[in-house]
Amino acid sequence: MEEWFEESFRELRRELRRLLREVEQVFEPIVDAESGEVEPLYEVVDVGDRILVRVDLPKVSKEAVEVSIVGRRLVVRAAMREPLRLCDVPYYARCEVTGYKLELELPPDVDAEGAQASFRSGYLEVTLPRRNSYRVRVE
Amino acid sequence: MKDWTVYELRDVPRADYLIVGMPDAGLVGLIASTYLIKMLNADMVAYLDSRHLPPVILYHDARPYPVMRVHRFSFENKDALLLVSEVAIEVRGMHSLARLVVEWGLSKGVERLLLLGGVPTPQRLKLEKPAVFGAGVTKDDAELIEKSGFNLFKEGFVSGPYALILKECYKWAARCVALLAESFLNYPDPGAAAAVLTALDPLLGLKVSVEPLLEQEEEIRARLRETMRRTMEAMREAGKAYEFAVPAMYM
Repeated sequence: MEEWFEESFRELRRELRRLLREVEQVFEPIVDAESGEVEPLYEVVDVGDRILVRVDLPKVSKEAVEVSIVGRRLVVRAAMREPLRLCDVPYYARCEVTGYKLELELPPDVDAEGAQASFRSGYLEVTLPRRNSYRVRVE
Repeated sequence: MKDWTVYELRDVPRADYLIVGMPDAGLVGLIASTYLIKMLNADMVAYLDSRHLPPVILYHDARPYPVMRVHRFSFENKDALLLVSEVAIEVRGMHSLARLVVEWGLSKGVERLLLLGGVPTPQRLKLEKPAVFGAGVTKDDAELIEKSGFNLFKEGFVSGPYALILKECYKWAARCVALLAESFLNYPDPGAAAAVLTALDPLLGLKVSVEPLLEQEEEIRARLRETMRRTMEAMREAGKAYEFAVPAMYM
């Protein structure tokens, strides 16, 4: 009986989490109606002495990629070579997707001046070294 | 109410293969199977429905389409059924889906199931041509994979709906090969989908030109951004991270 109760409770929690996520996703604006920008797919990888931010930017040329660090925020903007036309999908019918915008809060120990970026086949990688990174000698 | 039901739009005759394309790592299965349907003009012959699917219906060319469909096509005197899902399946519905897919496939007399997908690799960006791994169930499957010139998936975990289909085939001793191309985990990967499609030639004798797919690569990546985002959620729940673990048996 107790086991059944616990399992039901776990199930209820799982369902609540799922519903909450769905609600969050449904109401999150996907495209900025003013600028036509969408948030690109991205990942942040912490490799100890540096942080890698990888961003998927299809339909973008290297020259159109702008990477800046404003205070503690990393901002990536990129205009597409030509807009993404999705006119038959009602959500996108009245606005073209013209580019990407990503804003990320960075950890406080990131060395903005040492940041580097590379762009290949529509993928951007920004490398952000950490300021207080020391190599410890292993004996 | 049954967990999953197959609705046959007309009598679906026996087939030689059941090919499956589900949204997973890099959306490889979804991209590859959608491309096959378009290129081969494969008719929809059945669809699957379940309370485990989100409450959605798809419209394409002003016509309603179920999100999980079975298409049929023929090649080189062979017939194939192709199951494609436009949406990721929630974990709670995966077990019963895998059971149904295998039972239904075997009831149609298929000699082998083929699962099209991706195996994530952190080096994907550096790879011009992703390698294809074959995870088989029976001895026959392993022989076919090696004969076809692919890497045999020797060590590691497979997770998600394909893991359960492989497990179900294992129970039935049914032939099944998961064709997994090295791919991105969280970005749509048409390049990996092209690698999987190319592998169908040595494996089944099914030749598919992938040039148009590669030409549209960036367009597809841009269009499938939201689908990828939603699939990531399902992958997290399905224990995708297991695929990065090394099994204890590998010692």
